[in-house]
Amino acid sequence: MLHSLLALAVLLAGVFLAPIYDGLERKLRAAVHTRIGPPVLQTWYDLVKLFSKELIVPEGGSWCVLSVVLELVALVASVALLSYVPLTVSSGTVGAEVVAFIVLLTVATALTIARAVSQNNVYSVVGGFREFTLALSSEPFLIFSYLAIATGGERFVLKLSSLLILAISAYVVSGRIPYDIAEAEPELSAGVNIELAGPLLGIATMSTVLKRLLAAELTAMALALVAGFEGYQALALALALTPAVWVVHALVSILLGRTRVDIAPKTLLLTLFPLCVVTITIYGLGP
Amino acid sequence: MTDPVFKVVEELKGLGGVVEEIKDREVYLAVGRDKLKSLAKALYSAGAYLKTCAGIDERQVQGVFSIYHIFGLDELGVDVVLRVPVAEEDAWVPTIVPEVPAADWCELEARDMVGIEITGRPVKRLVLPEDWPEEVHPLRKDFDYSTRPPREFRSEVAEEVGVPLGPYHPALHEPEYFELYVDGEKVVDVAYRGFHVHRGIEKLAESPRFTYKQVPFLAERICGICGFVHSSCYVMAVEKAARIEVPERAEFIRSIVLEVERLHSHLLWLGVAAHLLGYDVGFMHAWRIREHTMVLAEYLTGSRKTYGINIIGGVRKDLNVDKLDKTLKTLAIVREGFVKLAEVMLSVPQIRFRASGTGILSRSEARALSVVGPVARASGLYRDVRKDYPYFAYREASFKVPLYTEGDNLARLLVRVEEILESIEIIRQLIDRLPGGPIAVESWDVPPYRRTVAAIEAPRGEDVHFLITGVGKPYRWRVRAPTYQNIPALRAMLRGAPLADAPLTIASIDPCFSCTDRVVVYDMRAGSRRVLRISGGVPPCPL
Repeated sequence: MLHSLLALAVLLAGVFLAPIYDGLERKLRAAVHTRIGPPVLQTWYDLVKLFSKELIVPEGGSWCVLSVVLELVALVASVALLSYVPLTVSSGTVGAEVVAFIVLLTVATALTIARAVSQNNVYSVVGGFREFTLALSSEPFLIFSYLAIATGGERFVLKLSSLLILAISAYVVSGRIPYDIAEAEPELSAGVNIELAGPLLGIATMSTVLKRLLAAELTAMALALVAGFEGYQALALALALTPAVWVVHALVSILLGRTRVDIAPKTLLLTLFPLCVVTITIYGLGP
Repeated sequence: MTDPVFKVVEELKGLGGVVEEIKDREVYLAVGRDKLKSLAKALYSAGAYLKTCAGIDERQVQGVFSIYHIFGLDELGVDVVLRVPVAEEDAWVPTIVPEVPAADWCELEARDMVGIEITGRPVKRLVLPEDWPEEVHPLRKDFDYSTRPPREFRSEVAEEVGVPLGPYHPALHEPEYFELYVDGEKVVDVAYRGFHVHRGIEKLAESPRFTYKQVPFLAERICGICGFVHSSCYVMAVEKAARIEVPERAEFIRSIVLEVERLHSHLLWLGVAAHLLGYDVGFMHAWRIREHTMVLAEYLTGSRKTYGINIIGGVRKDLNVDKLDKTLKTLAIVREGFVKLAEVMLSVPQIRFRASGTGILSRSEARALSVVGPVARASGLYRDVRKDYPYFAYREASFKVPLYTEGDNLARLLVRVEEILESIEIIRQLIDRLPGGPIAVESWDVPPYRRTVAAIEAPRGEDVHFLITGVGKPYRWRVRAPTYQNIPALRAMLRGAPLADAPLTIASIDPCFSCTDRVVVYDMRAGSRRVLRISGGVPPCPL
């Protein structure tokens, strides 16, 4: 009960703070660009404005609306479930909450892809397939590393290799440059989101921001666990580290350019697959 | 006439060309329709590039329509113009596209605007909108500029739906329309539709409301980025036709301002290229550095853009010591910032990876299409009007023409990067050697019916103006902007390339389009499209 209340508090704080972190990212980006940039609360202002607009339902009709809403629900639930991870890891087992977290994260991606490819818009369809390619090249590795950290025990090398895999794949899941190819404005004019406007675009924007929060929190939590913290201590440290990880993610995206859809999976597989082999080998060698 | 030119002319005479006029570095030959193909082929084989062709209604002076094919022998710095006169009642000429592929668009334009039929090739409308009446040709002298013919609506045949890229370019935000046919993420074919708002500037210059003196200001409004190139090219054409001796100081000032314009244009493009590749840091800093050149332009000419200092016989604004000092200081700031930016930008892996080996235009394709500017130089063609046909004060400057052979997006990027540094050096040299004296001639007169070809190296490549003088105003003024010559090459660059590279490849020619007032509407269900005209005015130009 206590933890459920804590999870709710973490969720509410996360939902409130994620757009502010995004605002900080925009400020940071502006600073590197030598611009003033928008206010830190700008992402919240954008969301409020979008939700105040008329509801325009794309050609997909109710399915499109449903998928956008369900995606947000899945991500909100994922943020709540993430707070259970340190406790589960401390017990040395993969709990139902962890499994549910993985399933919800995957469902959120699947909903984005399904919505995008069901639209009668070539840019949306191409964006959907790009999202699918990225998901295939990153999410299995994210889940693998997440499970390896959760069940790998005290072996530092194993934790370190798992952390590397998780950090990279979580960054990809965050949908930032160079892996923003599903939306890539100059190439696809918003791609998967091209048909969305008003409140639906607001929901999709919130989903994107929450995905970035998840990516940062997950990495921060993995860092806390690898550093040897457990339980509520690990959770507290992870929440404290989340903005710092977000800033690192932002800096990486600011300093790089966009990759191409055929290069992205190759780069990711060539990086993550060898790391997975190393991790499995260490895992197999035992303590 | 030098020996090599003499040889070419003799060969053309042997093939049936009749020399009409030889002056300075221009040779005019009258050619019969039956001889046109063989002469065009001979010129092309001799290494000539097709600069453009122009359909002209010469009934008032010669009693015929004419089509002028303007070739440039770059290595000799000589223009050879083939004029094919045709009677009004029998107005057709054979195509030269099989011999000279670069003639594709200008032939169609002559057909649209003057009504000279082109035989031996498929024809379609290029410039005129779909609802323009069939038998009305706006560049005929009996068509008044203010005439607004009734529209003829014709529904278009349903076409297969590809990936519509436009009418606004997602990156450049200008009106052009590319239809990309894709197989997965691979582009298999490309269709282009431009000229969404043909502004009729050539016709306007012939109208009673314009005189020789006013046209430079009209010419400068052809382009929002390299307008000074157009006004310079126009005044150069008039000055050549009328044999006006422009003061040396004015020529230096024009050259300096032209290079300032090149600086801002290339920096603008560099920023756009960085944005297309998702590297917005490069975009912002390129434009931050560019701002210095814009302020400099305002300081030198009074305007950030559309400088308005060109007049026939000179310029309107002089440069004093303060201006020259400030120019040198600004150039130092621009150079320092740009060198750092280029170094960082070219070290970003995504920029290198994505620009390298993409959008390739081979040397032979570039040659066949007579492409110009950085596009030509990136494909191994040594073409630069400043070297090939020296004008203004460029004879006094020592500079390198960057040349790459890869023909890809990276090569085009590197050419522009090097050209920025060269332009800075050119301005420094010209300031150092700036002569004294007047900045404009006091009076001038333009005799009627003189023909001339003028060309200037714009940031995007060779800008060509062909002029036939009239009484008080041009009889015919033909403008061929560099983008006109480079767009047909995009088909070769885009076919077989990934869809993701299409925006960068399109942008790599640094295309320049005018504002639009029409949109293409796709009916996705029916798989058909139609073209609409937006009523209620033209949207504001983004540039």
